[in-house]
Amino acid sequence: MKALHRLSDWVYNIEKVIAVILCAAMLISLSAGVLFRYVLSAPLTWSDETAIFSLIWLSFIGGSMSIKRQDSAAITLLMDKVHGKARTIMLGAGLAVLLAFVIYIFYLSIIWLSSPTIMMQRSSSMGMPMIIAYLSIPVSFFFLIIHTLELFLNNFKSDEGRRIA
Amino acid sequence: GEDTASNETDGGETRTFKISHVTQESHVWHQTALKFGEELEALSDGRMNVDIYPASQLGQEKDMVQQLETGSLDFGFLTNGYMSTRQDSLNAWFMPFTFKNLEEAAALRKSAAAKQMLEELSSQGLLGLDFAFAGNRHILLKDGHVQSPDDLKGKKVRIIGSPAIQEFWEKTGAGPTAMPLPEVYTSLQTGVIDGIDIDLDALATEKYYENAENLTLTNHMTFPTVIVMSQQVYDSLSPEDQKIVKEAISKAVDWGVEEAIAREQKNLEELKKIGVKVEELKDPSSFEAITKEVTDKYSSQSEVIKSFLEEAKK
Amino acid sequence: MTAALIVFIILLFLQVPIAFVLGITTIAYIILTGNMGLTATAPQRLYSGLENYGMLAVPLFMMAGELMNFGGITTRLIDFSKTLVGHFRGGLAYVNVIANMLLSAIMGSATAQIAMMSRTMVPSMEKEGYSREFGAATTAASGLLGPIIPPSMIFIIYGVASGASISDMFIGGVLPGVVLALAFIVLIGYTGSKEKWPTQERAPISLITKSFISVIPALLVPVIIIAGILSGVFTATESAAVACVVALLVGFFFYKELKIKHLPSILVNTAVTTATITMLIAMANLFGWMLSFEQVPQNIASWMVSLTESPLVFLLIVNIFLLIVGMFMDGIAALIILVPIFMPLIANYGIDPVHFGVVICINLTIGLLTPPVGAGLYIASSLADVKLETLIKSIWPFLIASFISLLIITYWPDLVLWLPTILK
Ligand code: NA
Ligand code: NA
Repeated sequence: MKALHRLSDWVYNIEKVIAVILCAAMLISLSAGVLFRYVLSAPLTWSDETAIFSLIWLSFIGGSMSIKRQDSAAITLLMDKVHGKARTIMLGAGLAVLLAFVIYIFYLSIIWLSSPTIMMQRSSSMGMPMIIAYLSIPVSFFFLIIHTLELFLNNFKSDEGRRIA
Repeated sequence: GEDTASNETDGGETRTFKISHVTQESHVWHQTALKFGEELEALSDGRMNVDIYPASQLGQEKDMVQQLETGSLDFGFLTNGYMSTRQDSLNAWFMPFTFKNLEEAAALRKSAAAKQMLEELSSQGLLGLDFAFAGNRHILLKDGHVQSPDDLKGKKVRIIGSPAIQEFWEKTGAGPTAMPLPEVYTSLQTGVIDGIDIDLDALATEKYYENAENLTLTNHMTFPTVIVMSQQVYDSLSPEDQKIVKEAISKAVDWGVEEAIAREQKNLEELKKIGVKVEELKDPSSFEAITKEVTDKYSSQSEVIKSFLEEAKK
Repeated sequence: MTAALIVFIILLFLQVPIAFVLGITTIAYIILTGNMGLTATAPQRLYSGLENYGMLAVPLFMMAGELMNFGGITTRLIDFSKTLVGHFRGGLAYVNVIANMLLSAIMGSATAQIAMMSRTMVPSMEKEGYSREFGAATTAASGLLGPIIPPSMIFIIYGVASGASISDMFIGGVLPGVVLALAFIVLIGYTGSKEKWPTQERAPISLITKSFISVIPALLVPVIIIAGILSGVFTATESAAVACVVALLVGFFFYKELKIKHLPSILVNTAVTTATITMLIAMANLFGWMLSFEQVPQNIASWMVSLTESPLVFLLIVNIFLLIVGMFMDGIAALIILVPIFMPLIANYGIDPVHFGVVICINLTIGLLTPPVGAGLYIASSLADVKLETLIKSIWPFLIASFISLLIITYWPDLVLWLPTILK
């Protein structure tokens, strides 16, 4: 349990570094796009694509972070009124479904990326292998599995349970 | 898919195919898909028909291809722009100044090289059926017309993001940018870009002429759609039904090509009437050096492209 | 479908994040219908839901907001409006509306704006004697102006989905934004005289001048953006990146309140707040794809068309339908699912796509404040530290004012269409 907790914190720290890099990449590539097109009259071919691929990675990594931080939008209306064992069980049930979902999507994405036609796909402007962008899904859903599992086990540790919102 | 779409009627089993494409319902590709549905129904005595999902309702093109691979989608009209990122030989259609007009381009859909391209698609779980066309590409600028590459120097031009198209445009000395379509109208209005590489149908429907009025008819490229069927679904059909599918698509595309040519003419007249200043590129030979560089490079990379260009010259 | 709906509701109340509820419901539905071939394409569908250039404005406007908060730009905009209208009864409540209007000329998202203003406006209103929940309600409601006065994320998303001109949408949003702001001002005036609110001293000219001088660099942000877009230096999407750069420069060099050490947490916050929206969009895309595969929206749409031939009645039905949708769904997600279905219909009724777009975007934006699913409500209640239930009680007058404005905008198309035509 402690090891899992530490692993989850460690993953979160990695995610923070990735998020900072991706935000910066998005900002810099779009600004460079404006600069090269307007000031130098030589539009960049990679700026839009770089920004979009950064956004996609950012969305999925950020999605994983929001589960860790218990920060994503959820409805607390009912769960605020329930206390004690019932709360633990109900939150646990929700977390169990969430866990099953992230594991399933992780599994599907591995199958998807092992298909032979994946390596044929390249991005249209940069010619970058699409798998670099597609990898955002298995990677972030793997992180999600770790965070969700930690929340799930933690939920049963204290009777009050923890919020997942 | 088979599970969702088959049901029993007194005449035997009927089958409804799902077709998806990226254009609006007014577009000639959608009309071609409708025509295909009619032909299919007639040839099969009502046993086979289609449901069409236009405007990317079932997802972007990469989703469509995946759904075709798994057999959850039956037919797709995929742009050559997207498909050329998955199969190099399709760049043949993007070789600059290969066709003087849309008729010439469309005639090549029956060439041996074009058939080869369709066959190569089988490595992706796709059955390549045919090519249909939207129109040849021309140049719309805010200022001036294009009679030589010099007229393009330093102009920021929106193009379709595809390596072969991009390469040609970079060599002209223009600044090509693969800006997403929804940004184009505004960008043309405010001057973020100076012009666009476009076919007449899109020019008329998207009303870009409101922001840029100089159209040069260059015919510098064509822009086909690759019509494919899920190999998995095709294999599940009886030989007789397979024949019907192929016959129906061929009839529909014959009609669609004629329609595209007629529309190009009609659009041109309409654009002139609206007040768009139209000029023809009088002498494409000023682009010859650039064209040769691009075609040499691509024909050295692909035998199919090489033989396609040879057939085109005849 | 009923089983999927039950799964949806149960998970929602078990406090599962809404984005994931959409994803889980989709997978559950596919499994229940036994159409397993579709699950294989789910990951790619999640991916391509986000591969959308217009979406780039989401994180960048959020980042711009964070940078403006840390860099002292936000406080100066508020201080300046305070010196202008602070002496009226309910002055600070008007300040809230006016400051939100100014901010709206920079920000493109209501949630980002509500987050930003809840931190600054609510405590200062409380200090002046307003109740915390009224402060939070005013802030949340005025935050709705963010995406209505240009630039606007939801307008961009509508433009991308519908093909309507984004610049016409932007210009078309200006007057409806003013109508909405006026409605809030009237409401505040009425509440103020009924409850006998305190007033402040009128600011002396010297103070106004001083505050104006200090706000000039802050005004650089909107000025550069508007000038840049109008003169063709950059696109509306790119303006979000430029806003960040200008906010960075102003915060670092003019006000000197922004420090290098703030940047990592600004970027991490941006990532997480972005993801709460974009994950929702990705999952909603999956959900919407399931619906269109089953042709559900097409059926609802053709049913709606069968109800009436009059465009006016049709618009009313659409508004009621969307208000209900907005209670349960995030606005942007709903927009992405519904726009492709509505577009052919409005053409039949002869409704202008820009007018229609502005109407449904405002409608869905109001949905941010309607319970039970309302991101704006959650943000305001958590950042202003007000219980959700009390916040809902104080927000309903603002919701009524918003509905009335929406009706005016719906039945007076020129309010939207007049400005874009004269600017052509
Ligand atoms: Na705005
Ligand atoms: Na709501």
